Amino acid sequence: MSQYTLNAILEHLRQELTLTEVKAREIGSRFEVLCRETESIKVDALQNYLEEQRKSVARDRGIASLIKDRKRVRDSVLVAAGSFILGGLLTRDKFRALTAGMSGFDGMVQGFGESKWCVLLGKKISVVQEEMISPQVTWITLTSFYRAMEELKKRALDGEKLGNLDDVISKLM
Amino acid sequence: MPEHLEAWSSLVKKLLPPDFPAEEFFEAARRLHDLETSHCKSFETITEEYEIHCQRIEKLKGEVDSLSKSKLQLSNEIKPLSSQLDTLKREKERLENDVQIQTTKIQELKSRLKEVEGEKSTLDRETKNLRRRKVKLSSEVEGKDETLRKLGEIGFSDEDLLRLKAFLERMNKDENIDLTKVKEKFFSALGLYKDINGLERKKKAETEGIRELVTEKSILSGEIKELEKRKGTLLGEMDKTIISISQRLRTIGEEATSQVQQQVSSIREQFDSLLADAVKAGQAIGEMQQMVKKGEDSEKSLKNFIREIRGRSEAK
Repeated sequence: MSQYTLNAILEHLRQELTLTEVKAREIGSRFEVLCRETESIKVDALQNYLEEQRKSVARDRGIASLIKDRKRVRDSVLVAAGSFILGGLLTRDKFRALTAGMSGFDGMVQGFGESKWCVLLGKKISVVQEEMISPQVTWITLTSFYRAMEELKKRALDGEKLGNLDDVISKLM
Repeated sequence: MPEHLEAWSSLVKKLLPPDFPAEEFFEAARRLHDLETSHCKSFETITEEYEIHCQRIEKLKGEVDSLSKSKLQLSNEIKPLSSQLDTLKREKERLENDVQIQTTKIQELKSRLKEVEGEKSTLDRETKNLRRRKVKLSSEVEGKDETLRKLGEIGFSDEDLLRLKAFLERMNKDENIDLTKVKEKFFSALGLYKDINGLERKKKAETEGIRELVTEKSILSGEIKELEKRKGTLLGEMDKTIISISQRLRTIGEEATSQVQQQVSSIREQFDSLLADAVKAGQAIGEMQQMVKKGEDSEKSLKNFIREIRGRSEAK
């Protein structure tokens, strides 16, 4: 084998190794970003869960309020029907107009049940109204909770491991 | 019109210039009229043409003056040229006469040359004949000379030939034998002499051969000594050459070893560099695998986290 051929082979190998190293580092950094985003998704998942629960509770409360006050039921129905008609006129899409109208009605019902919300953090995680809290349990306002969760999300994106749910709760305390 | 004639007359008298007589005026008018009639042109046209012609004449006069000057100048130049032409003509005639004389001489010389060539060819033929005769005579003389030379080589001089003649005649007379028989007997005796002489010649040749062999032997001995000397010289040169070549081989070997070592060290450096690159790539791959593992752990952790949230929710 001539020196020239050997040099060419070595140069080719060197280039391949450099390329492999660069690719490996690139993939590693992508996985690192993925890990951080996965950790931050925990925060999103928890927030999403609590928000759904809050909406559910608010809806329950709103319906209860409407049953007590018939006039509000009528107004709500009229508002929903108005939304329905207006949406149908604007979009000329009956299904979409119906969905939009019902969504508006649902939001209105939720609005009737809105209150100051708190989060109970213990064996059970739940969102309750402020007036429903008993003095023995550990709680935090929903606004503070969201603020703390945003902070945790930033830390997770910076590379901090959040751990399991108890670890997250302990970090909030 | 005739009725207007009087009026015309009075008008003409009135217009007539004082210093121009009436006769001349009418004469001029008549001539003018004739002129217009003959040329079928008006007086104005004729006058214009006249002026044009006058201008042209003036112009031509200028050209004629210029041409006259040129003619005069050329006439002045022609005179010396004419005298020069006459001189040249005379020279040409003289030269033509000379050429004629020379041509005549050349003709004479040519005819003389032809005569001389004829004489020369005749002399050449005679010379050739003489040469042939000379060659023939020379060959005959050479034949006689050869005979004499052969007789001389045999050792017979004129005196010997006379003695031989006397011997043969005496034998003829004493033995009373025909001269032809005497000659036969003589040559028969000469044949015996040939045998004896042949033996002696052989002996002499053998002796000569032995002498040549001895000489050759001594020459060969000398050559052998010379060759041995050259052999010694060559052996010395071979030793020197071997030493020189071995030194050169050693030098070349050392250089080759050095080059090989340099190349090996270069290759080793390249391999070390390559190995370092491979280690770096391996480290990068290891780090990547760690990150993949972390990613898998994160995925599991997220699943557990979501499961845990659901569990807590179900617990509610």
